[in-house]
Parts: sequence; structure tokens; C-alpha cells
Amino acid sequence: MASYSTNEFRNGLKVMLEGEPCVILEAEFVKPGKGQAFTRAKFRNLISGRVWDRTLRSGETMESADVVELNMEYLYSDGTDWHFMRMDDTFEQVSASLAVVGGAERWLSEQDKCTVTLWEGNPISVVPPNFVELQVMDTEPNIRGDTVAGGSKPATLSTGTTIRVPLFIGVGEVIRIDTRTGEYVGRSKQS
Amino acid sequence: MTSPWRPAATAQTLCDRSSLVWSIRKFFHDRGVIEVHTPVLGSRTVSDLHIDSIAVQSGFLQTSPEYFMKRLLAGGVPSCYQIGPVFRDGEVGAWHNPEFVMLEWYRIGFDSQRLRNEVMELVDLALGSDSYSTVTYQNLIGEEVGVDVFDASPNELLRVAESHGYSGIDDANETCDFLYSHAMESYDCPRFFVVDFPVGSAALSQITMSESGNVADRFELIVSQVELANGYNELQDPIELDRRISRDNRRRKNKSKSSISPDERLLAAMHHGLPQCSGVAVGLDRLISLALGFDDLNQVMTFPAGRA
Repeated sequence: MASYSTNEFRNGLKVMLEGEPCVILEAEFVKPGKGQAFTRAKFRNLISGRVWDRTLRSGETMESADVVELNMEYLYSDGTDWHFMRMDDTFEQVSASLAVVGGAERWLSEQDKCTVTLWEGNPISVVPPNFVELQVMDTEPNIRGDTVAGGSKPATLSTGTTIRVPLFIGVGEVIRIDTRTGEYVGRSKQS
Repeated sequence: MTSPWRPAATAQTLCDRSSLVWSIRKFFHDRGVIEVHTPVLGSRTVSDLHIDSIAVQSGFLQTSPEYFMKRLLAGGVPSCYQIGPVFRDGEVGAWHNPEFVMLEWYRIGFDSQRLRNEVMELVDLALGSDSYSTVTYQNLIGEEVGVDVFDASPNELLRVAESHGYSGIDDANETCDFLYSHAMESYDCPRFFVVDFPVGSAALSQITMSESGNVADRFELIVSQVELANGYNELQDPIELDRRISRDNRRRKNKSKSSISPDERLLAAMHHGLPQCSGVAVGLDRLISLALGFDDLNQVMTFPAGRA
């Protein structure tokens, strides 16, 4: 495996820190009072998402992390694992546990294109498309007279998740959701 | 990033920089401190463990004009200053460039407090007036990370450092360097002097007695978390200097670094007699960057590393 010296550190570099794959968010050269030179860096743990601050001696090396981000198609879930397929000629499949899918399952419909991060070939995180369109399966009927702007109500979607939608949305409608915020953005153009 | 042939600083910035440098020269001229020029290429260099000189066939690019300026003072030259390029290998970052411009001056008869007063006047001139506080090295680290660096065991220092993200080696000096950088950046004061450094970090400063025992009569000025100046009440004793060079070389050997030959001409000058004086070095590019409100050196340098 390749390794990187602290003077090669740059944002986005993926390295192994304390046995876990991390991405460098920022790195700064510091040299206090004619003393030892250090590289102070912020690392985001690609598994837990936590940010770690670490100060290393300048010139020290870190092993690179065998991490790739792939566009993959979500195939199906068997209830325990979520299955994804590479979109290149290999059609290779990987399966991810609920912990790895980490909330993306709320938004995923079959054939959605996701970004799957693989570490040494195994998925460690799944990012759903920024916008998804899902059908409303259940919500209270529209009550007469409630055209007031700003009102909302819960709605259960085809994936089983529940979000808040405007009062005028009814059962059977397809709505557009921003998965980064988990919020309703509008009615689907297709519906 | 603009095309690499272009200067990093804008034309306007270079005009502003020029005005500042002019006012600094006037500052010294008005005080009767003369400007000198000493070689950038010298046959000897510093022995500091953590300063890497750039060696060339005929010697070393100087990391500071200190040795030459002290030889001037020993030779009868009055208080003097110099603005010129210095070189430190491998130092690259937002506030570091392997070649930078140093403003260094020596004041005969000044103690370090009197020199700090002059440093404040100079910094006020460049950055506008503000208040300055003074904290000892020991109290700075004590207040910010809660450990007494002069008293704690190496183990305790390491444990405290690790709790603040240190992932270096188990070496008390390096752990202290880390704690110092950490404390310095979290200390909530826009301009402050750190004084009374550990004797091991004395470099070329005198050792004096303080409440916590012997300390180095050395100071650093930190402005907006940036180390701006480093000054000493200068060591006059050549025998002590020779001892420190030997100690530096032992440390260098432990870290597999090349040994540095003592500068016999500096030692001879000190045997002849260096007048009591205090001296300070200011990173001029840093001062200008802070004065113009930037947050790195690139924006005030013509051709920093990568363009040079």
C-alpha cells in the first residue's frame, strides 16, 4: 500500500488513522517557537463520520486507505442487507448492512443511483441521490378550508418513512424530497 | 490560482508593502539604528535541532543574520537592523515559506523588556495600536492545558498532549513544543508576549533566575495566533555558546541529523567581546500580511514556493 508524508497532505486525501479509513479535511504546517515542526490536520472518519483532530510530526507518513467511491444502483433489500450493483461493465454486486446504509434506506427505491464508498472492497457508507421522488402512501385527507400557507402534516411514503408535507398533499401523489435535509421540496413534475 | 508566471501578491498589495517597509526603515532611522547588509551565503550555520539550513557547495544559505550581526556588534558597529532574505528548508504552509524576509535588529544596552517595548512600538506602527499582555511559557501552558511543564513527568505531559490530539512520539521536548503551539493558539488575547522559556529552548539567549528557577531570557510575540517575533537578551559567553552547540549536536545525532561545525569566527568575536545587547527577529512577510488583513503569506509575497 502506498503511503503519504505529511508534506503531501492535501484535502480529500484518504489515509488510515488508528486502523480506520479517514479523509483529510484540512492540514496545516505549524512550527512553534523554533521547536519541532508539526502538521495539524482534521480527519473525517469515513466509517463513523466523526471528525478527529490530530497533530503529527512533520515528515511522518500515513498509509493510504484503499477507499473508492462508486456510483452504484440500489437493487433491493432482503430486510438484513441492502444490495447494490456497480454501473460499469462488471455488474459486480455488494451488500451493505443497515449500519452502513446509515439512514439512506429511508429514501431508497429500487434502481436509485447511489454513491457507495468501499474500503478494501467492502461498503462503508451509502449516500442516496440528493433528490428522490416517492409516493405518499398514507396521510390525513385534506380538510376543507385549510389553504393557510405554512401548515403541514405527517405523510408516510412508499419507503415506509414519514416526513412532513404541506396540507394539500394527498394519498397517491408523488413528491420530491431533498435527502440531505429530509424535507419536502415539491410535487413531482411527472405526477 | 492565477497563472504561475504571475506574482502571487497584487500590484496594490506590493505598493502597500513598499510603504510599510519604508515606514519601518524610517522608524529605525529616527532612532539612530543603522541599516546593515550581511551575507546571505555563509560558511557556517545554526546548530538548532529544528532548523534545517539549505546547504550549497560553498556553504549555507543563512537562516537568520544573527551570527553576522553579532560579529558586527563585537567589531564596534552600533545598534543595527537588517531587512533581508533568510532560508529554512522544508517549511511550507500558510504562514511558512522556505525563503522569507526577516527584519532583525540589535540594541546595545537594552534588556529584553526595553526591547519588547520597542517591538510594541514597531508593531503598533504597522498594525495600529492595541494592548499587549505578557505571560510566561509556564503559565501559558498551565492556563490553557492545565499542566505545569516545568514540573510534570514526561508521562503526564504525553497524556495531556494526547488528550489534545497529539499523535507524535514520546519525547518530552516535542510534547512541550506541541503543548506550546496548542496553548499559544487557544490563548484568548490578540497580542501577547510569551517570556521565560525553558532553558532547553534558550538558543542564543541568556539564562536568568525566575520564581520557577532558571529560565531563558527569551520572548516571542504572538499576534492573532501568529508568531511574529522572537527575541533574546543575548548570550555573551563564548564558552557557554560552545557548550550549547555541542548539546545541539548531541540532540541532532539522536535524531539522525548531520552535525554542525561551530562558527569559530562567531566564537572568536564573542571572546573579543559582544557588548550587552538584546536582539529580535520579526517575520516581515507575516507582519505585512497581518497589517494588510490577509490570512496567509502568499498574498503578500511576490513569488512564494510554487511560483519561485
